[in-house]
Parts: sequence; C-alpha cells; structure tokens
Amino acid sequence: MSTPPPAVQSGRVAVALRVLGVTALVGVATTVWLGLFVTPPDEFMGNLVRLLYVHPPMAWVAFLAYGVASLASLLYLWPRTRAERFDRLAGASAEVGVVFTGLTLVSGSIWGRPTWGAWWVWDPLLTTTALLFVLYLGYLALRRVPGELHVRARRSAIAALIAFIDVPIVYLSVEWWRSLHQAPTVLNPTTHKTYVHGSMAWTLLLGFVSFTLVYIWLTAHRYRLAELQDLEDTEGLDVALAERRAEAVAG
Amino acid sequence: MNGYVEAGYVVVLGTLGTYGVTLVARERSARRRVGAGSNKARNAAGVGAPAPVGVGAPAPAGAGTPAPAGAGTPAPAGAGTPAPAGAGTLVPQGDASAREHRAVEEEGPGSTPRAMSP
Repeated sequence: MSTPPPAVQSGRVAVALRVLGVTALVGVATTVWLGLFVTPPDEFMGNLVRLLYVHPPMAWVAFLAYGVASLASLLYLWPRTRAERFDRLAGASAEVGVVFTGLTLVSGSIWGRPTWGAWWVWDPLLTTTALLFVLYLGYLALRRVPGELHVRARRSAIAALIAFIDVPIVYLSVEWWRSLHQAPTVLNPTTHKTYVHGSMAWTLLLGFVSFTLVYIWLTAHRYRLAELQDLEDTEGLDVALAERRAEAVAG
Repeated sequence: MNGYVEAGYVVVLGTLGTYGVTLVARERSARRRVGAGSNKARNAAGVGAPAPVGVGAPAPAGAGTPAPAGAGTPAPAGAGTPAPAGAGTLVPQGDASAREHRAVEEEGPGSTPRAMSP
C-alpha cells in the first residue's frame, strides 16, 4: 500500500494554504476597490486606465508561472535533483500560467477595443503572447499523452524549456519591433524610469503582489490535486493486484 | 465608467474565481476517492480483515498469527484458505509479531525484520 505523500497528509500545509488564500482574496479585493473607486482617471486613457491594474499583473504572473515551470523542469531533467515533485510542480505551474496568459489576452483585448479601435491586431507583442498561450496549451496536451511516468515527465520537461524561449521574446518584442503596444511603464528597460506615480503606482504594485499570491495559492492546490491523482492511480493498481490475488486464492 | 472596465474586471475575477473553486472541488473529490480506494485495496488484499468466527482455518504461509476475531472488516471470499506466500494475509498491516515471524521464516532465526532494519 502506498503512503500518501507529505503534502497530502500535512494539516499544517492546509492551514498555511487557507491563510494564503484569505490574504490573496483580501489583496485582490483591495486592488479592485482602489482600482475602480479610489484612483483617478488617466489624463489620456480616462477610466480605461483602471483595466491596467489587472492587465500587467496577469502578464507578470504568467511569466512567473512559466519561469517556475521551466525551473522545475530543469530540476527534473538534472539527474541529481530528479524527483516526481518537480514534474508535478512544472505541470501545476504551467496550467495556472495558461489561465493567466488567457486572461492577459482577454483583458488586453477589452482594453484595446476602445483604445485602438480593434479587439485584436497582429502586433508583435500580441502575436508572441498568443504563441506563448498556444505553446503551453500544447505542453499541457503533451502531459496528457499516455506513457510511462518518467518518459512522460522527461518529454514534458523538454517541451516546457523549449516553450519558455518565447517568454523573453514576448517581453522584449516592444523594444525589438515597431509595436502598437506601449513600452513597459513600471520600469522601462531602456530609460530605467518608471512612468506611473502616486496612488496609481501603489494600486498597481498591490495588484502585482495580490495576483502573485493568487498564483501561489492556485499552483499549490493544483499540485495537491496532481499528487492525489497520482496516488489514486497507484491505489487503483494496488486494488487490481489485490483482487487478482484474491481471485487466485479463491480459484 | 464605460462598460469595458467592468467587463474586464468581471472576466478576470470571474475566471480566476471559477478556476479556484473548481480546483478545490476537484481536490476534495480526489481526496474522497483516494480514501475510498485505500479501504477498497485494504479489503481486497484482506489486510486488517478478521478470521471468520468458527472457521479456524490455518494461517497462510508467511502470514504470521491470525488476527483477533471481530476486528476490522469481514474477510473477502477466499480468506482463510491457504494462500501463496505473502498474499491475502489475515494479519493487520504493521503487526510487529507478523513482521518478525516473516523475517524469521525468510532469513532464519536471529535475523532482523526487514521493515524494522535501518
């Protein structure tokens, strides 16, 4: 009989997750309140600037999620650190990353319609982000292809590392190519200046922190679910073997 | 505001909320299934199952001492008959005497039970 992995068993982990969840919820609620009711409209964008308290944090979290997935994949591929938990973490983080990438695209599109006059333009940033979304969807599909555990984990890890190549391309696309999308405003990589101030800056910062906490909470739950699913598969095998043995004994 | 802002917030928060709730629900359901699966595997293996009262059948080879009558769940069909070594035991898992007995059988007297060896 297989023993439940530590994360499944531990009550302390559950309590920590609950605290994290409540903190994230309070953070998001405060961001929404500040973003919708407290911060002033922008001089050029008007009220549409309020969408930017959620759009850049979505993109940041997606990058973070893919970074974690790549690091975990690298740790899985490295023989000295190879462990199933890294494969699970990579899968969990990538799935959450895909959700956040989808939300980045949708929230950007909702902002783009009144600002650019179109829901979608084949801008370098938008196109590379859409590519990122598809690449990681493919990664998630690859994880579901049947196969031996370590074979599946290894090919998924390689795929995650290949897909991650697109992340710096997305970030730097506004610098490399002529783009409709604005350059980074929080910390511009060329000028090293920030173009957001006062309550707007604090609200945006809170948005980054809150959605990062949401990411951690979601990834932890997704990880635990993956752990339970693996355990369930093992137990299914145990049941089948035990039933066969019982049949053999009865026969 | 102009409808776009509200729509953006509804989509973002709605999606994240739905995804989070779904994850928690799936996790709880998986936890229940794993719990049920453990019991099923236990029952199928006959682990922790009692010897039926009055049967008095010999313990299977390598199984050690029979479990006390009335403890645990009823034995599955076929329990109580001789079984291949180590299969379909009538001894609760973790029973020290059973481990010791098995180790002695397998490795001779004076050997350390495998489960207890460092």
